[in-house]
Amino acid sequence: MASDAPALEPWQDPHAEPYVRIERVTKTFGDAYAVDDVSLSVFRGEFFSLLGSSGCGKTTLLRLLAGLEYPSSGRLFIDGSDVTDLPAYRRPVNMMFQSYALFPHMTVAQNVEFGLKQEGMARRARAERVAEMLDLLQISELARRKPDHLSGGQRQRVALARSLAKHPKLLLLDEPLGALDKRLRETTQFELVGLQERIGTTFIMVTHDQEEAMTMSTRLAVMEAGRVVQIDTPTGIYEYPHSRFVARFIGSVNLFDGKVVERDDQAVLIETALGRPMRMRCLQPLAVGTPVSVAVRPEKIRVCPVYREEAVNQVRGEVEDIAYLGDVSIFRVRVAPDHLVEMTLANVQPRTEQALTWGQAVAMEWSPNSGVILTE
Amino acid sequence: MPSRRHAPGRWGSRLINIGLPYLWLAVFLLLPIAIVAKISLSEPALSQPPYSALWEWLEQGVLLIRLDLQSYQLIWTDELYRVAVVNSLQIALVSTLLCLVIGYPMAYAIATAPARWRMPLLMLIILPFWTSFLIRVYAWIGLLKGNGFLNNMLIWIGLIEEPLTILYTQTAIYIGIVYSYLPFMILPLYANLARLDPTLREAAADLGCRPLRTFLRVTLPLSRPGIVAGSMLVFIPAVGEFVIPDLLGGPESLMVGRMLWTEFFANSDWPLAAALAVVLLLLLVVPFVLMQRWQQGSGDGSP
Repeated sequence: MASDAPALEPWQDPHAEPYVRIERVTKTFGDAYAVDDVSLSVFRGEFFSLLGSSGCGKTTLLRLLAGLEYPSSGRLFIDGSDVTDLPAYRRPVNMMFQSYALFPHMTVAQNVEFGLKQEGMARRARAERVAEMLDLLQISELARRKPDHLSGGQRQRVALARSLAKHPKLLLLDEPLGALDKRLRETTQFELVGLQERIGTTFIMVTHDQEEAMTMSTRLAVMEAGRVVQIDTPTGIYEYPHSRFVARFIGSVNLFDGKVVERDDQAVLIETALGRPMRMRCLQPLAVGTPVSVAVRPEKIRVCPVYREEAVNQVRGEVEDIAYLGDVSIFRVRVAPDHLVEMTLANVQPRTEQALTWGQAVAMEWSPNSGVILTE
Repeated sequence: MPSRRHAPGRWGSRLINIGLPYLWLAVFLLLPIAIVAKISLSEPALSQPPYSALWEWLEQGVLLIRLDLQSYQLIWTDELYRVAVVNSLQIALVSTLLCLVIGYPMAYAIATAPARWRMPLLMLIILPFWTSFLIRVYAWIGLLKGNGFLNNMLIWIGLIEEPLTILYTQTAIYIGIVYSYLPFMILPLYANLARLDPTLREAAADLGCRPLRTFLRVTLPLSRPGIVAGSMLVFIPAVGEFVIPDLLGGPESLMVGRMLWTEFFANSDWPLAAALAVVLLLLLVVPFVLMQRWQQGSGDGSP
C-alpha cells in the first residue's frame, strides 16, 4: 500500500513544493459556511482523501478545485499557478462525478473522446488516446455502447476513463465507489490505487467511507462543519487522532474521561470514574488537573488473567454483548452502569472453544503506549 | 411477475385496462375518421345530408358501391387547393420555428431559474389560457389594426410616419399563431430541460467545454425529445388552424382550415370538405410517423 512507503513522504520534507495548494479558502452559501478557512497542501503523485460525513464541505472543496464553484475568499494553486479565477473549462483538472454524469446521447468512446475534442486534438491522436484509455480500464469491448446499456461498474470505469483521457494534472474523484455494491467496491478500491500508482496522476478523492479512505489514501483530511480537523496518513489518523471527533470518526474507540493527576517526562497518570488510574505515554505538556480523555482502540485491549489492585490501565466488567464476525469477535463489556468498553479479539481458536461468554466477569488491560490522550 | 399476469381472475380487469382505451380510440377517433373518409368518397348532392350514398342494395341482393374520387381529383388539379395546402404547411412550419426560437430560451431560463421562481414563471406562461382563445385572437385585431395600439405606439415614438398594414396579412397570421401556440412549445421543452441533469453541463465544462459549446453538444441534443414534442404540438394544430387566419388573415392568405370551412358551410360541398380533411390528416400523419421513427432510431435521447 502506498501509505506504507516511507520513501515517498513529501509532506515530511519541509522543502518539498506542494503540487496543489489550498490557501485559507472559505466558501459561503448565504449565511452558511460550506468551507471554512481551509488550508492544505497535496503533493505530486499523492492519493489524497477528503473524509467527512455528509454536509461537512468535502464535496464543496472538491468543486472549488474543479472550478465548478468559486471561493468566497482564499486562493487555489495547482502546479505553482494560481487557478482561483480560472473557469472550470480552463483548469488542468478533471473530475469524476459521483453520478458519473456520462453523456447519455454519446457512446462510451464518444464520452471518452469528448474532452479531447474540446482540446482540439487531431482525430488520429484522439482515437489512439481513446483506445489507450479504454484499454487501461479494460472496457474496450464497450466502446460503442451507450451508457444506458452499461452496468454500474462499467459506467464507473467509463467515467474514470473519460476523466483521465485528457491526462489531467489533478484528478478529482467525488465518491468514486459510492454507487457500487460492497463486493465490487472492495475490488475496485485496490484497482483504483493500482491505476493511480501506474499513471502517477495526483488524485484527490472525496468519501464518507472511512474504510475506503484508509485503504486507498496516502494521506487524508478529516473534515467537520467546513473545517479540516486533521490531516495525516491513515496510520497517523487511526493511531494518533488529535481529537475525540477524529478518534470516533475513524474506527471504533473507547474513551475514558478523566483528569491528569500526575505527570513526568514520558507519561501522565489519569484518574477516571472507573476507579483504577490510567497511565499513558504522553509527550504533550499537560498540567495536572487538565480534563482529558484516554482513547484506546478495541483491538489494543486484551484480557488480563489477574486483576491486581496496584496495576494501571485495567478495567473490569461483565460481558454484555458478543458480535462474532468470523475473523474477530467484538465484546462489549459493561464496566460501569453507563459505560461499555469495546474489545476486539482475534478468533485464534474456533469460536466454540473460547472461554469468554455472556455474563462473564472479565478484566481487561492495555499498554501505556497503545492509546492517546485527547484534550479536544 | 408472470404468475400474476396469467392468473385467470385478472383477465377481466386486464380487458378493461387495455380494452377501454382502445374502445375510446375506436369510437372517438377511428369511427369519425372513417365517416369523414366515407363522405370524401361520395358525390355532392342536393339532399339531406348533402352527399350521395356510398353504397346501396340493389334488387337480387347486389351491393352497389360507388366510389367517387372527384373531390380528390379537384384538390389535385385545382391550384387553389394546392396553394392552400402548401401555404398552410409553410405557415405552420415557419410558426413552429419561430415558436422554437422564442420558446427555447424561455423554457431554458425557467428550467434553470431558482426553484422558487419556476412555478410563478410557469404560471405566467399558462395564464393566457384563462381567457378564451377567441377573445385573445380578437384582441390582436385591436392591437394590429391601422389605428391600433401597435401602430399608434410606433408613430408616437417616431419609428414610422404612416401606420403599417399588418392586420389582414400573412404577418398577422404569424403573430397570431406564434402568440397562441407558444405555451405549447414552452411547456414540453421546460419539462424536458428541467429533467436534464445539471451535472452533465458541469461535466462538459470540466472536460473543457465553453458554455456555448456545452449547450450545442450536450443540452441541445438531449433536449431533442422536448423539441420534437413541442414542435408537434405547435405544427399540427397550426396546419389546420381556422380561427386565426379567418380573423387576422387577409383574403390572399389561404389556409386549408379556412377553405374547409368555406366548402362545408358556404358551399355545402361536404365531400370536398371531407376530402380536404383527409388530405390534411395524411399530410400530418406521415411526417409524424417519420419523426417518431427517427426519434426511436437514434433513441436514448432522454436521460
